[in-house]
Amino acid sequence: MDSPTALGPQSVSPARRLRLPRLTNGNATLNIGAAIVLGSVLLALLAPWLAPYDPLRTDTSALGLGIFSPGHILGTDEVGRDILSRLLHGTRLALLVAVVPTLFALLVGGCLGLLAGYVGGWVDSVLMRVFDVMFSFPGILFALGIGVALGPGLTSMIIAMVVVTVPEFGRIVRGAVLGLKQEQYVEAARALGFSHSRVAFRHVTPNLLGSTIVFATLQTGRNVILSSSLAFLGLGAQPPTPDWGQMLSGGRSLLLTAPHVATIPGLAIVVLAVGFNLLGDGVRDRLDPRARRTRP
Amino acid sequence: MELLPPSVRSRGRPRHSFTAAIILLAAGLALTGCAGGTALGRDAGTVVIGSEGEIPPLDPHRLNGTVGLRLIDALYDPLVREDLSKTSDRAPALVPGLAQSWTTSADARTHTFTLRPGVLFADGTAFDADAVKVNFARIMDKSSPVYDKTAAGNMSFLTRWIDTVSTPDASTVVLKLKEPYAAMPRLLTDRRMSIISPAALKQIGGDEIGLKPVGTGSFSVQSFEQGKRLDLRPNPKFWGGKPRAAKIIIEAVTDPTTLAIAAQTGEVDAILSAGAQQVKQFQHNDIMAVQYPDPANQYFIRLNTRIAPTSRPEFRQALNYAIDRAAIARLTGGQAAPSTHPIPKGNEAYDASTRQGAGYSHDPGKARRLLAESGVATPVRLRVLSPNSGPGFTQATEIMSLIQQDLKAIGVELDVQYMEFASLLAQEGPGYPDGVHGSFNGWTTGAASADFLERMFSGKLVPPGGVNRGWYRNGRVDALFDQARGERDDAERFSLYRRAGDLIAGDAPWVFLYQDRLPRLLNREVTGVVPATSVYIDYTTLGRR
Repeated sequence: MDSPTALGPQSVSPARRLRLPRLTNGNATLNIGAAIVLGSVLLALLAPWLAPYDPLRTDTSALGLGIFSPGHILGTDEVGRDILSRLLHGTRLALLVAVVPTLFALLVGGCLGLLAGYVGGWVDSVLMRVFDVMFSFPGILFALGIGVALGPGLTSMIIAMVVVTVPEFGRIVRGAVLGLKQEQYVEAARALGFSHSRVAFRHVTPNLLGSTIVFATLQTGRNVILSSSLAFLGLGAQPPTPDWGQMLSGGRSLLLTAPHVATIPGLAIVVLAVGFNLLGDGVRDRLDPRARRTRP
Repeated sequence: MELLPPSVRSRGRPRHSFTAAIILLAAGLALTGCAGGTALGRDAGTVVIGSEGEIPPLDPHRLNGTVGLRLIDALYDPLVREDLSKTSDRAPALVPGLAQSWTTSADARTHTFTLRPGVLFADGTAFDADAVKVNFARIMDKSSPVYDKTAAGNMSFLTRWIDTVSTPDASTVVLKLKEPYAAMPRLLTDRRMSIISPAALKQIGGDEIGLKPVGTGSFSVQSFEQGKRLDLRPNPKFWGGKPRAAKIIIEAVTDPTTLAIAAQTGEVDAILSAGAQQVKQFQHNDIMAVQYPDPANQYFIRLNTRIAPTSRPEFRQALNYAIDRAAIARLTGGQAAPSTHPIPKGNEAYDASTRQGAGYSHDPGKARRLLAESGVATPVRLRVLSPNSGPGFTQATEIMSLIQQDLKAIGVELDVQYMEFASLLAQEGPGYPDGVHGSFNGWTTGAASADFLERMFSGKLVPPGGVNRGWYRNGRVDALFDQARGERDDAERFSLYRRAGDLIAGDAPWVFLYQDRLPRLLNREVTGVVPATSVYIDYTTLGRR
């Protein structure tokens, strides 16, 4: 009876698929975001071959050279290191500390959220109160505290970021699970006597993926900023590791005499963060059925 | 709305009064923002000093660190002072402070000080021998009501030599020492041994005196916002005449860039310890002039001589040959003068031979040969601690990057653990544990030969009693120290210390790095600051055109 509406879009899509890859189908936001993120990944992978210098090589006869200096397209920093080389190598760390904490937080927060939402009752109450407590601290302050307690370093920064973002994933997943629990197919599965784990993982979880993927992508963008802030404050990878936040911090001393030393890594942070945000928005547009319906 | 003055409230409709409120608020913000600035017209006699660190409580006996010591110098006097009116490449000559003259006994164990007559503290009470005695009681007499444990710990560098303090009459103080120590008058120039008003000490109490300082100095406190701002006025009871400045304001601006901007806009007249970037910015500038006092100090990587491989002298020498000190100098715009000898410029014992240093030139070839001789297999990993910020260490991470590269070239990987300066002190204070090969640090009071060299290198002064945190010990050096300490003849004593210095240089318990020339930035209007070899300035001559 409802076959015309159900068949309608499906009959169109094969034709569209021929024109463009499905994922980037006519969605400018998604295209730009994906291009930035993929481009960053490529730069990160190819950094050793693209970078003109060793990112750690100092040269005190060439301190704070300006943009387009001979041999140094983006100039040199406060110790005479090539900024372009450091920027390229820094892409690896920037992506790492954006993506890895997201994955861990997704895993931990997702499981806790699923548990809270599916089981409900006192488990839900306890977990949510714990999350409330964690939410009550400003994110960066909380991360700083954890980072200081664990001692500065890449691992402790990632742990700090995971701890700070776990409650957010937990909340999102729990909310979605509460909705899904009311769905007829879930009730049907339970009525059929399937085990709780089977219902939770086989019936509920797949339907959570859409919203969590969108949130995870947006969170990755926020992580770019958070990790840079923590590195700026000296909590992340230790010098002389090329790290954007740290480059920004190091360039501060030259702010009046050679502003590009701090500005260039700052721009890189902005571009990558915007890239992940656009990607997140784009993916949401693709996955959100209401958004899809409004498009012709 | 209720915050508005009635005149504004009564003028017409609420919308107007709202606008007026905004204007008032903006004006108020602008006014508070400009307070202390020149924009609103500052009187000519006012000098504003930008402090690169937060202003600590100004209790001399409890103080540490140049930032605070430099400030208490305006409020208090020690018994003996340094002549800050002349330049030289050795420590400034001694001149009378609260003591008018002093004599040393033949065995260098008794020092007699004749006090300056007619001196009053800022609170009006008289300065006499009893006042000196109370101050010593505070730091060494556990039975005294004013005894202060914190102060006593901080002052042990001085009190560990002193047996008794006696006052035969109101203008004489006699220090009897446990061991011969001929250089005691120089040690008493340490600003921490400034004399506090005993009346204030009793009335205000040892914990609060830092917030309400009362001394005999040329200035006294008008208002003090701990950490941020100190407002000084000439002390009308000062014994040395009227200081030139009518008002000195110290503003803490801990961010170097902000401090530089404040100097550029004329909000700050003087930066007494400027960083390389600030100096670079003000070179060839018609607002601020650069001055290099070259006070005695040393910056170094102190090595743990108890654990392999830094326990081997050849290995330590190899590290010293691997460092390109000229590159550090270039990095800092010439502010860090290369140092390869334990006796720094500005020390009493400094002369032409120490100026040559220990010959640790940048010679990677020689470094590799020494490494081979030491039997240490490369690549080898060293774990060192380093401050990441703080006064004197604004470029620490950059300098460590250079050193890491230099050492990598000879097969030594330097793992640097960065931390706040306070954490560094906490970690290395008890001496290096076995997992740490050393730390990047500096020592800023290096003018006295006996005091500086013994504290850095005496095998008897290891933690917890001392600051020889690398556990360095050489019996011949310690014997020379003992001999020199009792030597009354200055020239002879300095030559003994130079011999000790040469031995130390050969042992290389440090990776000698550089001496901070500690440039000052002074507004061209500021007068009366002579580049004597000291971190201190003469507050009585400081003025503004």
